[in-house]
Amino acid sequence: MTRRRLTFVLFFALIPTVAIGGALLFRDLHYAWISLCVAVLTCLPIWYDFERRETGSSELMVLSVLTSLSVVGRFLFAWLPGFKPVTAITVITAMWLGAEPGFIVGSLSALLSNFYFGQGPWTPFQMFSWGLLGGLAGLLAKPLRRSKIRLCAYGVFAGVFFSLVMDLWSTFWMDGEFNIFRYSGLIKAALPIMIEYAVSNVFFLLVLANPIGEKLDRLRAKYGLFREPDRADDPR
Amino acid sequence: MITFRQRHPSVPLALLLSVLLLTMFGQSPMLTVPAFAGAVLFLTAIGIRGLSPDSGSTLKSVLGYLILWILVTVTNPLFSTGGATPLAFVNGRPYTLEALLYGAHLGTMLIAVLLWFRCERSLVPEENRFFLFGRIAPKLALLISTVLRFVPLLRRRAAAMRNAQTAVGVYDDPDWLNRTKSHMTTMSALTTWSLEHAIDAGASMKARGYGLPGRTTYRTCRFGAKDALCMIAVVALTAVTVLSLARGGLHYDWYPSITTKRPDGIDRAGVIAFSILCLMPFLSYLKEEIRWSFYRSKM
Repeated sequence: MTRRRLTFVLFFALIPTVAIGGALLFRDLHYAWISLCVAVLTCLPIWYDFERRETGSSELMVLSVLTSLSVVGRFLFAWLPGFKPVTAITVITAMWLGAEPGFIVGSLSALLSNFYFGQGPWTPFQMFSWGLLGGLAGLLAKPLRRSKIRLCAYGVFAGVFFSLVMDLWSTFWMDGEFNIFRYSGLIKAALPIMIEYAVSNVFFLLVLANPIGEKLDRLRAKYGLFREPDRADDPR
Repeated sequence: MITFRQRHPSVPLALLLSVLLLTMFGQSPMLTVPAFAGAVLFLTAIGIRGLSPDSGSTLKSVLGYLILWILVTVTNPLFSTGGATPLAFVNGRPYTLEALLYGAHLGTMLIAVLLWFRCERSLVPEENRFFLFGRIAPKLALLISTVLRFVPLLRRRAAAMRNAQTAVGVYDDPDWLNRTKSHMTTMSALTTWSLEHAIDAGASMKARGYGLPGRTTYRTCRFGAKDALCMIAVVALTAVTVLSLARGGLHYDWYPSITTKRPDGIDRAGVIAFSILCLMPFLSYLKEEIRWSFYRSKM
């Protein structure tokens, strides 16, 4: 235990050093470097918290199945390219199980689906975006569950956010600065995909939210999973 | 000596991280070209032996990379108009030689990075990844390994349900709405089935003592003297490269015209060190290959 804690202290001391040192070293690309550090830094504390707290083996397996479902969903709907339920499943997990499980499922879905669809420098940013979208949905669980319109709006927001983050990173990396011409060019080129993301998010959220939500509610009621003492704001 | 398959997994991981970060952020053709060459040599070598974990046709991917490279090169001047040598004017904006060359550099960097990500699968195989991360983050490592097991399982289950539904006659409905609906039915049933399975798996893990202290890993590796030697080599080569980067010796000014400092000894050393680093996976593979052939011929 002490050894593990020590490793983490080292980690957290090391990372700001790496971020600042890297920015000084990679002068031309310091925007890109810092944005990479931000993406990684966002994931680390949440993962650390997840590692530290008690999680039952059944809860771990439920998270694992939800992650697998979002990865498999990418295969299942491969006949419609770009149409994927990853965001929807992440958001649904967050709405029913909380912000942290949402973050975990989102970030791991990005990492794992890229084992099949190709890893690259975009992986940390996908992990960051999907994780953040999951975490945010967990914080907004109550309003999102009350109204379908808000849920749809969140789906559209998620699609646009995801696409904009990716383009921003590409711009920083390719130009070393915020080149508005490249950014707008990339956004224009990615516009059809952005629209497809938004549409597929809305579609999957509408179709899957209640069926999967009911199943998760049932699991929580039947097996008493994901009941944390500090979560008095149980949405029910 | 350096044979990465036998080395402690932290050595190839350190090498990979160093090469990737320096290629991605070093912003110098003196680094991207060796990185590109190292990855191509390694991937070709393991590809010839059929050891590459990638399926997919080689010709297709080579063509894909070539198209990507041309695309990045040709479009870069449209985005950045710096540069003193206009070749043409597009929409009233200059299309410059410098921007074109910067695009070529950018394309090389992109492809080098993508190729090194492909090398990653051979350099740090899955079980080694779990060995490394299983200690620092056991829960995440467990999640990752179970997901990798669940994905094929869930795909098989989805296929089984799809077959059943096709037999009933609802799956191949020409109406796309009905077809999507039946996909959704599959997805829903898959969710129920898999979540129930997850509860069982969780209970069974608990029964077998998951979470108790003193857990061991499937793969056991010890960090020996040779590993230390290799690690020192990787760190030293990285340090030399970083030193020459920090002195600005590898720095290129692309706009308005391409200028670079005259390289001195340390800059040359930096480029050589980075080239050796990039060639290490290939050289270690080559050495294994020679040794293998040599021993065979003696028998």
